[in-house]
Amino acid sequence: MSTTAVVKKNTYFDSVSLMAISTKANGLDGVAQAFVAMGTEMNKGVLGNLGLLTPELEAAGTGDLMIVAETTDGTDTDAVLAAIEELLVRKAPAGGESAVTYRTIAAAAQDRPDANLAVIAVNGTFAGREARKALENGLNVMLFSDNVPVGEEVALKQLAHDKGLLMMGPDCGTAIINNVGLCFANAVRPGSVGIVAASGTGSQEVSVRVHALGAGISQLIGTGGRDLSEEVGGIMMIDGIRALAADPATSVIVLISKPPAAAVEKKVLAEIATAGKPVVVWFVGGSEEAVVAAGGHFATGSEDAAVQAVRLGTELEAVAGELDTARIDAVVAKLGAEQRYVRGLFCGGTLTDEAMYALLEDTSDVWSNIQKNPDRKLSADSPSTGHTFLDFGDDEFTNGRPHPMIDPSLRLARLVEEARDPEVAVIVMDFILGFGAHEDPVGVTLPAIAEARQIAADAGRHLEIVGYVLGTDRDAPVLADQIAALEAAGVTVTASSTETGQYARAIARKVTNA
Amino acid sequence: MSTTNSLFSSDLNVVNVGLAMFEDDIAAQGAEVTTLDWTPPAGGKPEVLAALDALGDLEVAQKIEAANAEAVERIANSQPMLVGFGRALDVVPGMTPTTILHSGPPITWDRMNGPMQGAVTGALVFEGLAKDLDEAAALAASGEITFSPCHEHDAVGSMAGVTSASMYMHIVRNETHGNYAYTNLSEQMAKILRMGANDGSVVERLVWMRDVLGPMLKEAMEIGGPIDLRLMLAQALHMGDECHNRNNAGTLLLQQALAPSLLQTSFTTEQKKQVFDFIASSDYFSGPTWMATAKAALDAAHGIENSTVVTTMARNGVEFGIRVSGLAGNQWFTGPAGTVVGPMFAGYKPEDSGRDIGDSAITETYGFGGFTMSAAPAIVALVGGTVQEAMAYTREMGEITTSQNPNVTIPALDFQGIPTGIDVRKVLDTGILPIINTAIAHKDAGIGMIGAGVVNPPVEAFEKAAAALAEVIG
Amino acid sequence: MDSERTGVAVTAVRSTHAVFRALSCDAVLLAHLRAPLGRGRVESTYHRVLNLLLPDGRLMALAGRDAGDAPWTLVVDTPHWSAYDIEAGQPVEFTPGRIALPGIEIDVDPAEEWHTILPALGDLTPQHLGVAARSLYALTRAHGEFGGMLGASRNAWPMESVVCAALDEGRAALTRAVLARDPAGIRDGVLALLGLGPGLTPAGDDFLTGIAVLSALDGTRLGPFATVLGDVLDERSGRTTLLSATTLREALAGRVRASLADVLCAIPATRRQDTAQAADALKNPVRRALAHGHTSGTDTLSGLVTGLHLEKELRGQQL
Repeated sequence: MSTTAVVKKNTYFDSVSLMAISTKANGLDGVAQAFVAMGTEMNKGVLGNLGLLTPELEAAGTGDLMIVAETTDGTDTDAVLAAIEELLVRKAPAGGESAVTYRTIAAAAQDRPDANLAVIAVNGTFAGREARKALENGLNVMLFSDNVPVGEEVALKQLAHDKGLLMMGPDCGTAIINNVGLCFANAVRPGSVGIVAASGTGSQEVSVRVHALGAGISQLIGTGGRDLSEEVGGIMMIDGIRALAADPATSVIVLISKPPAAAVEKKVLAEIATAGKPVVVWFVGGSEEAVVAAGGHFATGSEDAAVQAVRLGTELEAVAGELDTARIDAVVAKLGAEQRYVRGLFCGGTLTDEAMYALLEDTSDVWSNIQKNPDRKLSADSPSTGHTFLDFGDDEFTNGRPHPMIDPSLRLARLVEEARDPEVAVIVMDFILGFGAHEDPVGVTLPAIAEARQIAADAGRHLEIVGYVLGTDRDAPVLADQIAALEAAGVTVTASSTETGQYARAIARKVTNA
Repeated sequence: MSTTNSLFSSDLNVVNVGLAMFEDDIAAQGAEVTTLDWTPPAGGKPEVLAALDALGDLEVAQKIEAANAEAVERIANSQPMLVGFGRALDVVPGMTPTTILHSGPPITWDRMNGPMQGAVTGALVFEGLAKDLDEAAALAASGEITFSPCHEHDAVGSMAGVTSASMYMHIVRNETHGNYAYTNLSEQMAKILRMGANDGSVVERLVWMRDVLGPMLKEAMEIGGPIDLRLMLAQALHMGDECHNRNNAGTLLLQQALAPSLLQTSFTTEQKKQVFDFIASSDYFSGPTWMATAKAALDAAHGIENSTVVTTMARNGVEFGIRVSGLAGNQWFTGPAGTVVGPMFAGYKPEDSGRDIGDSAITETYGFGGFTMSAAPAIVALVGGTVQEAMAYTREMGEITTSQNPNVTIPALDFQGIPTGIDVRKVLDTGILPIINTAIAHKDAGIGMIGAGVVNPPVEAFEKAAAALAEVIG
Repeated sequence: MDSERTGVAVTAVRSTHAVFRALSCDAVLLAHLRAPLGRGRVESTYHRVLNLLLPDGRLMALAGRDAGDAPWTLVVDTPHWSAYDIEAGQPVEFTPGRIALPGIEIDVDPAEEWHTILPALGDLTPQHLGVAARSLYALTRAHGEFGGMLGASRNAWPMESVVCAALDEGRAALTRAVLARDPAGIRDGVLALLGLGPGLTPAGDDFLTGIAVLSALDGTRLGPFATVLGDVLDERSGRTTLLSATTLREALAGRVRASLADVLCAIPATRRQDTAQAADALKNPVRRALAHGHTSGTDTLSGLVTGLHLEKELRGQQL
């Protein structure tokens, strides 16, 4: 037997989890017994009597925490210490048997009284039913599923409203509650910026920008894409605003959506007056007037929304990035006369929107599967024409298959196809990191990028590929590694969704005028 | 929004439904998360879902909750007492000399399986209605015999459940609610009428039971007075029985209670020794007793308006039928009887098995038997499986029942009450079917028991019941 | 993150500042905080509590809103502190009505004053004291945590058994000495317990806290114990942690956390009840008090049980 000890100066742990550590440590391989106590004379005396007082423990002060493990001979004490350290940072278990699984929400909720939120990702036929069960059992809901009838959505949201619960979704892909990212979310710093969003990737982008500016997120409440429609009437966004208004940890509120139905917009903006905190509004492609009249801060884009929120809600100074025009000129110089169009191949709906709206500032000749203008609407299986922006996350593409953030195959094929088009000047792509996303979105795309560039090179063209990586330094894979891999493959990397749009717009302007 | 703000100030604790990949992400961020073992409710069948939704409507659900609470209260507070023994003709309501009761939902002679036909013909010979088995078969097919389910006569019957006029029955009175329940005596050995055996030795034993065993038990009860069966059932569970397939302790307890009175009866010592030897010849002696105990309690809970609690599960070898409290009277909901899976006696193969048969699933309907395997770890050898599985069965049955019976408890689960009041809605919601411990009879007439194992009811029975309930309640 | 790569210039003027409103505050502490104090530092940090060293070396607690009132504790409107990256050793500025830590500031002024309210013991008969002790013991045993004063938990490892045996011996020695009115023996008993046991507040200290608060009530016969414990804390302050020593000193002054005071206040109303009735009446406050820490609540209530027994015996001796 030998003694392994850790002395922790000024501990960080609650006593309940500490005691759980001594139980857990007793269960580690090679540990005969373990003891967690303060370094008082009496406790050291007990250890001395048991012959376990090492010099290190002898030196522990009364305010220090001693963790003592007696290990069997031949045990790798470093491994034991590492395992104990790991226990220290892990949360205490809820206790009881670990392998219990439940069939129904009701059974789980009954057996786990501390449960407070259900994440529901089942077929739309059953999703509403499960969400109702969750609400009836007092759980907040994040309803990831889509294809839930709108009538059911309204009923669920009304029920949640009456019970004072969050009903996020349906078709809610992103939320961060109590600093825990749910479904598709990025690892961002905790902080005081609260977000209520009807747009998944839009809210991911704003949260990532807020993080990049040095601030953090208090809560990110996803409302589901239809919340601001006439039928649903913004029930969740209004409840979300009120919840964040009442949340002492939130200093500023950001609202994100496509432009809402007019009557709903009015109702939502009316909440700004009573929120008692600054409210930043980014309604993609929406108008400034109504927002300002309601006392809100109008944001022109995702980066602007993040910058304003950080300025208004924290003491950080935040400045938006500037477009590098020299870089654009260098690219344009390499393009042939025939190369006139931008093609955007996106995973994120709001990222598609933001880039598309940037071009729409200059020309109406922009085609997309998510165009509001029916004359410029392009179906998923049609070839691109003029400036084309495709959202591969739209139902028309996903129909039956996983989201492109998980399954990139369709987009890879399209990338190669676009490279064959001699009129293409630039291909713009997004790469989304974070919880729920593909484990290496850049890596999986690199072969297709190489193939696309080869096709263009064989035809004597320079093909400009622009990539934006949505992620943070806390995400896995790490943002910097993904960017480096793209740059090594000759891809121009942009710094934000907003810059991506501006970059595409600047090139489009030059090649169209050329 | 006070509730939401209390969410913000609590640790996030997530129930994850559908996609397991979200669990890892949430757990990696330090939040508690449990992922459901989720399957589409009601097997995803739209018409069943519609029925469940109708029953899930808030106002309807409240009525159901109240009715179910009453149903399980009536089951749990029932105090079945063994008060005597008597001939079926004398005690069972609606019994006539030419009536044959059988197990499970109603069935006609021509649809009966081998073991049940074997038992019927044996019983007709025993009653002297036919001189041999061939004549008996002709008589059975003639339409002169009335066939009727035991369950429709306040009775239950083990395996084929075949009960004829002069067979001796347990008489069980529900002290709390005043109703009675009846069941046949155990024939003990493997080659017996209830398993479909019907040769001379079987009939000879039935005659002895009619002339010696039955009358002696009757007299003993008159001497000794009523026996509290719920108390004895609870004791037997504490002694390692599940009281369906394992009755070692229950039989000892019952014999212990009867012995002094049996000794005082007017029979000869030789006859008394025969009776004691007979009881000692098989642990199953008390098996029917517990069935009648359960039947007495469950009948008291039948016919409560708006209740979705199952009050009967029974099989006739062809169909599995259930009855539900809120659908009063003899409304049966059926599906095909399953095949029992489990170890078989040497020399038999799975294809020899007859299909699931008998009223003994009344024990699971009450909450013991398969539901209480956690009380009887020794049973796992008989029905196959591990002790851990036995524990898990009870926990799982908790998910489809209404509450626990505090009067009958399981020591190994910290004296948790047995799962009580199978709820049709929960069975369909969870996709968990009741688990039943049972014996396996040979598929052909005349052979008998060839093994034991576990079986589930067909989900169709519950689907049909839900549709009927939705029509009545929703 | 590299600012060139993100295309965003970030200048941190100073880190994010959150201002918290105080909800309630120990009245004694509140008087201190309204005066200019100077610079202190963070002593230790927990999920719901930050312990701060005042410039004069005293310890105070900044508690989250669910932690409950206690001596030298300021309850602040936040669920917990985990989000603010506070670390032990960081400076704390105390200005009148304001406490500033890196990144957070506490507005003390809205705080409601909190006082420990305790009953008098003088009116309680020995019989009533006995009933109170027995019912408290039954509740503590039924709902408390093993591993401290209640004895080792089942299947305990040798170390836990040794510590629990030592705690038990200490209690026995202290009880004998108090009943014998033997100051030297009381001193040995206190020293046998002070700083002994697992967890963040050693179990022996929690136990002594339970007796100490009784010894501060009007009508107590535990005066000699209080005198000895006070002396030991003065002379041998290094025997236990600063947090424990502070808690014990406050208990001697009749100031304990609200959940413990609630248990004491519930006792007079159980007059003329039998043990079962008293246990029923005390159940709710006891369960709240037991929820403190891991074994801390249990060990403190064990001290109350012993203290009540001692009171009863000492009364009996005088009668």
